[in-house]
This record gives sequence, C-alpha cells and structure tokens, in this order.
Amino acid sequence: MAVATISNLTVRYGSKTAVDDLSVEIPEGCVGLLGPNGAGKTTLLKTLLGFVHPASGGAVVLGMNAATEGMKIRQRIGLMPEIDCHIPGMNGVTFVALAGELAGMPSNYALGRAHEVLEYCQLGEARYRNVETYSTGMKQRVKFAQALVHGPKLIFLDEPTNGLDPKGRDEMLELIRDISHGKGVNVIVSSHLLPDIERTCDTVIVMRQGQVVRQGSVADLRELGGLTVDVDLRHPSEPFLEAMRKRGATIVSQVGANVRLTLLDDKEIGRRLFEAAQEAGAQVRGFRPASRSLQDVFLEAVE
Amino acid sequence: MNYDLPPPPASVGVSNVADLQYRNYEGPLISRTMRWWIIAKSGMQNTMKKPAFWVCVAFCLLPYLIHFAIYYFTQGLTQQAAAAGVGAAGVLGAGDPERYGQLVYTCLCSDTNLLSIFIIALLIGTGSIAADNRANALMVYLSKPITKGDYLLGKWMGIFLTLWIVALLPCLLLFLLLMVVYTTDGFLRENPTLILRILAASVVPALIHTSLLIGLSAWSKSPRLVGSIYAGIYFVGAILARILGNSLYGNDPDMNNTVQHFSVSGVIEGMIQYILHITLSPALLQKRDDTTLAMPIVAPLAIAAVVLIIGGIVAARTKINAVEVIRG
Repeated sequence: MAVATISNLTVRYGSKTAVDDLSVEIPEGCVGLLGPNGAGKTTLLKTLLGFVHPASGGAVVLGMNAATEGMKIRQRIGLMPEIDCHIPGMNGVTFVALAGELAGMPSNYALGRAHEVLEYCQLGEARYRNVETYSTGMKQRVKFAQALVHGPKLIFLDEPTNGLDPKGRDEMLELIRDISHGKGVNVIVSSHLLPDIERTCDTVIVMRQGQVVRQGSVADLRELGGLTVDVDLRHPSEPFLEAMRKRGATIVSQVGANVRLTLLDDKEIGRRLFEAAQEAGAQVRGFRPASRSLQDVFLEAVE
Repeated sequence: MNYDLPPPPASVGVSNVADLQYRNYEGPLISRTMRWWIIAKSGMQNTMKKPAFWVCVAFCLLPYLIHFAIYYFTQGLTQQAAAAGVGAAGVLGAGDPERYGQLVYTCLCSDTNLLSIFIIALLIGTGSIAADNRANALMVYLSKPITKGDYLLGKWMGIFLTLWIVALLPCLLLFLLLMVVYTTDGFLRENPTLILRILAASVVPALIHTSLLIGLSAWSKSPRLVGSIYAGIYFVGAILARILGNSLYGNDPDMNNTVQHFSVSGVIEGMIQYILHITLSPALLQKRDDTTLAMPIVAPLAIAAVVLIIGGIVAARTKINAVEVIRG
C-alpha cells in the first residue's frame, strides 16, 4: 500500500519548473529520495506538506489531498527540516512538548510524550538544557524528537545526518532504521549521502530535473542481472579468464583475485565455472550474482 | 580478602525506567480552532520566566502607589479644611468631575509607567519574531497544522496580552481602591463610564507597541538591532515632534499641542487623554500658574494610531513566508 501517490505533478516557481509531470507511488517502509541539487526533492516534500500549490496534477498523502488538506496532513506527519531550526529560549523538553501541542496534542499528553521521545532520542539527560546550548548532533536529535512527538505515521527527514560526526551519524542512522522497521512509522529520507540511504532504506526513488528516473527496492536496483557474476579465486589466474572467454564469457573487471564476468546465458553457471577452474588449475572460493553500489545506480541514473 | 562487589540483581537491566523503546502515541490529536493561543501562551510563559520583566512590573506599580497615597492624604486634608470653612481645592480639585480620570491619566501616563511599559515591550517584543528568524523556528511552527496567520496572531497576542495586563491591572486596582474609599462621596454616580474608559485607555500602549515591534521584528534576525531601532524611533521621534510643534505652530497652542503628539509616545498619551476625556490641570502639568492643556485634535492622532497599528501588522505579514520561493 502506498503512503503517498503523486499523479502528473507539475510545480513551477515563476518560469522555473521544479517538478515536471511527476507520477510516483511512495510505498510503505523507509524510502530514500535521491537526486542532485535542484532535482526537485525539497519541492516534492513541500508539495506533500501542502506548502506549495502545484501548477497541475496532485498528490494524495495518507489518503488526504495535499492541495486542499494540508493542515490535516501536517497533523499526521512529522518533518525534520534540513536546516538547523528550533524555537529559541526553550529547553529540550519544553520545545518538544510545544511541538506536540502545535500538532494538536493536549498539553498534559504533550509533556509526558516529550519526555518519552527525548529519552528515545538519547537526550534524556540534556532535556532541561536550553536547546541553543546543544551540540550539532543533539540539535539533529531534538529536531528528530519534535518530528516524532505526536506519533506521526509518516516522517519526512531532510538530510538527517547533516553536520554529524561519524558517531553521531551512526546513532542517527540507527534511530531512523529502528523507527522505520517494525514500529508502524513510514519514513521518507531525502539525502545526498548514498551510504546513509543504503543503510536505512528499503526503497529508493532517484530524481533528476523534476522527474523520477529510477525507482525500486535497494536490492533490486543494486542487482546487475542474472548473467553477471562475481567470482572469488584463491589467486589471480589468467588461464581461468582464458577458459571462461572460451566458454563465451566477457570479463567485466578484475581486482586481484576477484573477477566480474558476464555470461551469454544463465544455464549451469556453476558447472561452467568449475570446469573452467579445473581446466586452468585455479581454485574458486565462491561466486554470487554481481551487485553494484547505490552510488553506481545513482550515477547511472542521473548522468 | 575478596574485594569484588556482589553481582547486580537481575532486574536492573530490564527496569521500566530505562525502557528506551519507541512507543506509538495513542492519545488524542485535537483540531483546535484557536491554534494561535498555543503560541501566545508559550510566549507569555517565556516572559514570566524573565526577572527583568518582574522588575519592570514593579516599576509600573510605583506611580500608582505614590499617586494614590498623595491623593488620599490631600483629599483628606481638603475635606477637613472644607469642614472647617477654610476652603481648599485639593491637589486635583475637590468637586472636579474629571478628577478621578485625571488621577488615572497621571498614573498611566507617568514617565515611570510609560517607560516601564516601553521597556517591557522591548524585552518581549524585539525577539518575538527576530529570534525565530535567527533560529529558523518558522520551519518548526509551519510544519505543524499552523497557518501563517495563526503564527502571527499568536506572536502578536503573546505580546499584546502581556502589555495590556501590565497596563490594566494597576489601573483596575486603583479603580477598586477609589471605589472602596469614595463610593459614599458619589464616586460611582459621578463616574459611571470610568471603568470602560480605563479598559480602553490601557489598551492603547499595548496595541501600538505590539504592532510596531512585531512589524520591525519580522524584518530582522537580530533582537538587539530591532530594540535599537525601536528605541530610536520612540525617543528621537518624541524630540522631533516637540521641535516641529514649537517651530511650526509656536503661536497656535492647539496645533502646537497636536503636532507635538506626532510620535509613538505622543500618540499613546494623546489617545489616552482623549479616551479618559480630560483636560490636563496645572497640578498635572506641574505648573504654578493656571495653565491647562486641552486635548490634542483627535482625528489626526487616531489616524496616526491606526496607521502605526495596521502598518506594523502588514509589515510582519508580508515578511512571514512558509517556504522560500525561488523566482525564475
């Protein structure tokens, strides 16, 4: 089931078209929104929040029309903006409780829930400190807490690991992974950092110039297809490569004893590999369908 | 000897207090009609935490205490003198129908009170939107079910209600004291509308300060800069208006008086004088001769007040945006 359905959406800022006739279904779970600067990711998020009125087309978020029911949508979703933002002059718990009240929680519920969420975001001990005194990592976590306080079913995270050190980044990614798996919360992560997406998301949408250029599960996108395999040899072996070429294989790459090759068909791949190894006197330690990094997928999609 | 500590009880690791698991929120989510009230309430709560605010409130009360004491004792002496057949007019004039209104004006428009209200306005108004701009707080507010209008109204009401309460409460206390002490002298019969006039007069400084500060604050990221600019407008404007009045209408007291009111503080004083409907007596002007000061011409002052209020709100409304719009 889709958490958001976007149909023929076009958004223009004056003469500039930010999103161009975009149609996509955003599935449940953790979804990564990828794209170079100016691809239209933030505009898409703002449209889904009801901040931007489309020139044509529309979007339905959690069953509500983004153009006409923006207020209702914002009550049921959480937003962690990219920029550093907080309400000044408040400590952590007051800030998060106020965010809960603004979302429609009664004040006593909001305060209790603020304590709970800050504990979850590992800010329990800093909750009575003024937010302005927080470190960058703590500010990111308090932004996450305010997005989470009213128990939204969908959260938008815009560059959630911006400015974090490796430890802080690890902790934030762990929080995102935890919240989006088995807790009934759907997450849309917009990020430039592909390893972050790879680590947290199940599905990826790649955008370029206001359009979706690639969409699918991370595993599917990384897969190169059944005819390309990675073979691990004990030692680099030129005779093995020669034997495989004789069997119609194309050598894609070789790094040390690791060989990537493409076969003409997928019939008895294992048998052919072992026959070639036997013929060349090489030792095969393992083989598997080849996969590529998300960065390769991204670069291929946007170039 | 064994120095090892005994192992912790098995229950320590699974204590409910240390349960950091995420739990979904199952409580209610209300669609409020007065969404601005959350922002206003939060602003007022923040104000209450500032010690400087309470110091200014204490200064606001001072003129009321002093003037009431003076009025009470001199009125007592006047009554005794009248009973002895000596005859005296008292500080505000015995039998003067305006005397209670004049007393309220003296307190509300005393330098101490106006300055204290001005300082409180600076204290809570300068950072109201400017500090939010600096901290990008608008992004947090508007990602919730809050409109730009709710945000602006909440910020405006947070300052306005605080200033109004600070201006109104001492006036009400003074009114109650006068009522308790002078009801037998026909206080309520002589002044049936005084309470309404007090309510309206105390609104004026709150309205003008709030709107102007909100307007200035929305255009800046620095509360200090906003405070400096507003203090400049407030004080320099008053001096310029006085110079202008004297130089342009030196021979026309009415016009001179009116032009001298064309500043933020002047408009506040003039409108309060009009609402309380009083002529400033020699005692109020601290003059030894019989000089009185009539009300300034009200129409231009009222227009100036409306322009200041609406101008401030429109300036703020123009600047508050939910999203940064890229213009191609």
